[in-house]
Amino acid sequence: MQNPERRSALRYVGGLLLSLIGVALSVPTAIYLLDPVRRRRAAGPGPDPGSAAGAETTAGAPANMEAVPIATLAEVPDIAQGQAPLQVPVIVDGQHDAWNRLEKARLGSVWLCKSGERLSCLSAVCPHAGCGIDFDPSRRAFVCPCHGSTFAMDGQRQEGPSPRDMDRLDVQVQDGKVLCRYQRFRLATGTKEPV
Amino acid sequence: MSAEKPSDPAYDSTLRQRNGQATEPVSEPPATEPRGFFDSRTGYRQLLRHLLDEPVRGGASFAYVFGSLLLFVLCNQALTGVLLMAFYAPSATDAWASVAYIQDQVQLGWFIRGMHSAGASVMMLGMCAHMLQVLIYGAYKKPRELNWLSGLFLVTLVFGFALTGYLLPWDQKGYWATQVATTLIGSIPLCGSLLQQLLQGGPTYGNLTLTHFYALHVFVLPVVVLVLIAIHLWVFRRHGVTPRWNQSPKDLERTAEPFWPGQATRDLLAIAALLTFLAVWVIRTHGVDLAAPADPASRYDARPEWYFLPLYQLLKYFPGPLELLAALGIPSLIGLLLAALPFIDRGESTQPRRRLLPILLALSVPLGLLVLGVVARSQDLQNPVHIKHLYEAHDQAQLARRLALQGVPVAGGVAVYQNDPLEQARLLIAEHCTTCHTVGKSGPSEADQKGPDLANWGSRSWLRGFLQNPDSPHYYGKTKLATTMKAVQLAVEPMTDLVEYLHSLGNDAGPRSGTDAARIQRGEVLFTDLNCDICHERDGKTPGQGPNLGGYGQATWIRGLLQDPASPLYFGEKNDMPLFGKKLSKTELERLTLYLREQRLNP
Repeated sequence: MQNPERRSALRYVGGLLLSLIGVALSVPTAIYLLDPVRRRRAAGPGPDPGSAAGAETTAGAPANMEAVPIATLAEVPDIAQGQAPLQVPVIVDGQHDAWNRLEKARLGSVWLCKSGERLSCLSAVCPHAGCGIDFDPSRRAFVCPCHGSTFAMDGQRQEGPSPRDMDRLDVQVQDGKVLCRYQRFRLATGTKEPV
Repeated sequence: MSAEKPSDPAYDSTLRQRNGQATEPVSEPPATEPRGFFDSRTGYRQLLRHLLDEPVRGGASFAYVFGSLLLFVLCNQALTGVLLMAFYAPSATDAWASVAYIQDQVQLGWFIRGMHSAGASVMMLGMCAHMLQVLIYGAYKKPRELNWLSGLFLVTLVFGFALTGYLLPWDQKGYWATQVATTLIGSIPLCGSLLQQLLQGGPTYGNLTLTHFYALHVFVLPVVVLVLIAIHLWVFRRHGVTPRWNQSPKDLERTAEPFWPGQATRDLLAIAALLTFLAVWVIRTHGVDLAAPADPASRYDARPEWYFLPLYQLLKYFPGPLELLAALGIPSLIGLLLAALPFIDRGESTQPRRRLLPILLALSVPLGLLVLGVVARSQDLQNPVHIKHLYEAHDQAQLARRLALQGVPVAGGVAVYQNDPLEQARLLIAEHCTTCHTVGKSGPSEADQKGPDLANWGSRSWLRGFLQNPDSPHYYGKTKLATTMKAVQLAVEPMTDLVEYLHSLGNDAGPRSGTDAARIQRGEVLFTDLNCDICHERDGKTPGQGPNLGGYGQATWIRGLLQDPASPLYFGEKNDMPLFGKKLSKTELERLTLYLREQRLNP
C-alpha cells in the first residue's frame, strides 16, 4: 500500500488532469459551434483564382439588403379602386445558405398595393409568431391564420395578439419596376428591429 | 493463477475490499456526513465508489492504460463526430460542399474534422497496442476468453467505422477507394450482389449510398459498439486486470490498490499526453485534406487510408477470381486464428517465455501488415505516374476548394467548377461567340462561320499563321476585313522576331518586359521596316487604317474590342462584330476578356 500523502497528491493530479482534458475538449467545441452565430456574410466570397482583382466578387451588403425587382408598376393593384392587395414573392440571386450559393432563392413574400400614387409594401410575416399573413377580401383586412391577428389595409394592428403593426418595407420605382429592399425583423417584440 | 476454481480470486478480492478492508476516506464518506438531496434519491455515490474503487491487483501500472486510452479516443470520435454532424449533409449533392464548408469556412472546422480523422488513425494504433499488451501479459487466457472475443469484435467494428466514414465527404478519394470495397463485397458468391446493393442503396453510387453509409456510421455501428463495450467492460470488471506474470497471488493481494487515484491518474496522464499529441499533429498538418468533389466521369488513383493499405497491397498479388480470397478470405482467416488463440493456448502460465509460439504467431500478423503497407507505399512512391497524378489531384482539390468559398451551386459538388471564371467564360463563348467564331473544333458550320478562330487567339502560333495568311478562313478571310491586309513574307527567323514583338505587346508591363529582349527589339524594327506602322498605330489612341495595336492582347485592349469593335481604334467601318458592350454585363465582359487573355498564353 502506498502512503496516504502520496495518494492524496495523486488525487489532486488526477483531478487537475481531468479538468484540463475537459477544458481542452470543450473550448474548441464551443468555438466551432458558435461559428454560425458569429458569421456575417459581409465579407462575401474570396478572390477568384486567376481573375484580376476579384472581378467575380459579389461583395458588399448581403443580397437581401439590396433592392430587388418584385413586380412591374402596372401590376400593382389600387386599393382606392377597391382592388385587393397583391401577394408577390421576393426572389433574389446569389443568396448564400451555408455552403450553397442559390440562384433564384425565395426570401419571403410581401403584400403590395397602392392607394392613388402611394405605394405600400408590407411583409407577409406576422410580427407575432412568424406565420404567413393572409388577406380576407370580405373584411378587407389582413388576417393571420395562426392566431387570428388582424391588420388594416395600411398594416395597422386591429385585434389579436400581434405586438405591432405589419412590417413596412422600403420600395422604390425604377423604369416601371417596383424594387423592394426585403428584410426580416425580430418577432414578438413591440418595436421593429431588423434581424 | 487459480482461475479454474469456481470462485475467481479477483472477484473475491473485490468483495473483500467492498467489505471495508481497502477503503479510502475519499470514496467512503464518514457516517456522519448527510447523504444529500441527490445521493439519497439516486445513490450515485455508491455507483461512483463502485466505479472508482475497483481493486487493481499488483498495483497501478502504465501497462494498463491502453484500454482507457481507447475509451477516450472513442469519446473523442463521438464528440467530434456529433460536431461534424451538426454541419454535414449526407446527400450526393451536398456532402462535399458541406465538408468543404467545415474544412475551410467554419471556425476551427478543420481542427474538429482533423481530430476526427486523426482519432481514427490513433484508434487503429491504440487497438494494436492494447492487443499487444494483452498478448504479452496473457490476458486473453481463461477465464478472459470473452474479453478477448468481444475485443476482436470491436476491432472489426472499428474497421467498419473506417470504411463507412471514408466515403462520407464524397470527395474523389473516398468515392473511388470505397468503390473498391463495395465491388469486393459484390463479388462474394451467391449473396454478394444483393449485399452490395443493400449496402450502397442500389446498383450504383448515389444519394442512397451516402444516407446508408451515414446511418451505419453515426447510428448502427455506434450502438453496436456501445453494447460490445458494455460487455467488454463488464467482463473486465469481473476478472480485473491481468497482472505481470512474476508476482505471487499473495503479493498481488498485498500490493492491490483501488483504481482511483493510482491507476486513474496514470490513465489520465496517458490520455492527456495522447490528446496533446493528437492536437499538435492536427495543428501541424492543418487537419486532414479534402480531395476534389467526387466525379464519376474522372480518373483517380484510388488509395485507401493507411490502415487499409496492407489489404490493398494483397489485392495486387491475387489476380482474378482469387481476389476475393485475398480481400475477405485472408483477413477472415487471421480473425478466426486470433479468436481461437485463448482456446489453443490453454496453459495456465502467463509467463511470456512459456508462450513464445502463440506470441510470435500473433506478432507475425501486425508485422506482416506492416511489411505489406510499407511495400504498397514504396511502390507508389517509386511510380512517377502516380506521383504526377497525386500532384494533379492536389491542384484540382485546391481549385475546387477555392471556388467553393463563393458558395457551391445547388447542383452539387462538381458544379463548383462553374464558379471558375474561365469555365463561366467557356459557357459565354458557347452562347455568344460560336455563332460566328470557331473555337478549335466547336463552332458554326463552315458556311456560317464569319470570324476568326478564337482557340489560341493572340498566341504565338496564332499570330504566325495570321501574318502568313490573314485572308485564310481561319483568320479574317470571311470578314469585311478580308484583303485589307497583305500577307507578311518573311523567313523563319525574322518572322519569329516579329511574332515575338507582337505577342509582347500584350504583356501587362508592355513589350519591353518580354523575356527575349533582343528578339523583341528586332521585331519592332521589322514592324516599321515592313511598313506595318503605316496602317497600325501603337499609341492606343490614334485611329488608323487598321486596328491600333497599342497594348494589343492586354486586358484593356481586349475589353475595348469586345465593347466596341466598330470604334476607329479597332475595325472601324469594316466591323462585322456585334457591339458586346451593349449586350453583356460588366462581369460577363470581364470573363470573356479573361478567357481571351488565357488563349494568348498558349504556345
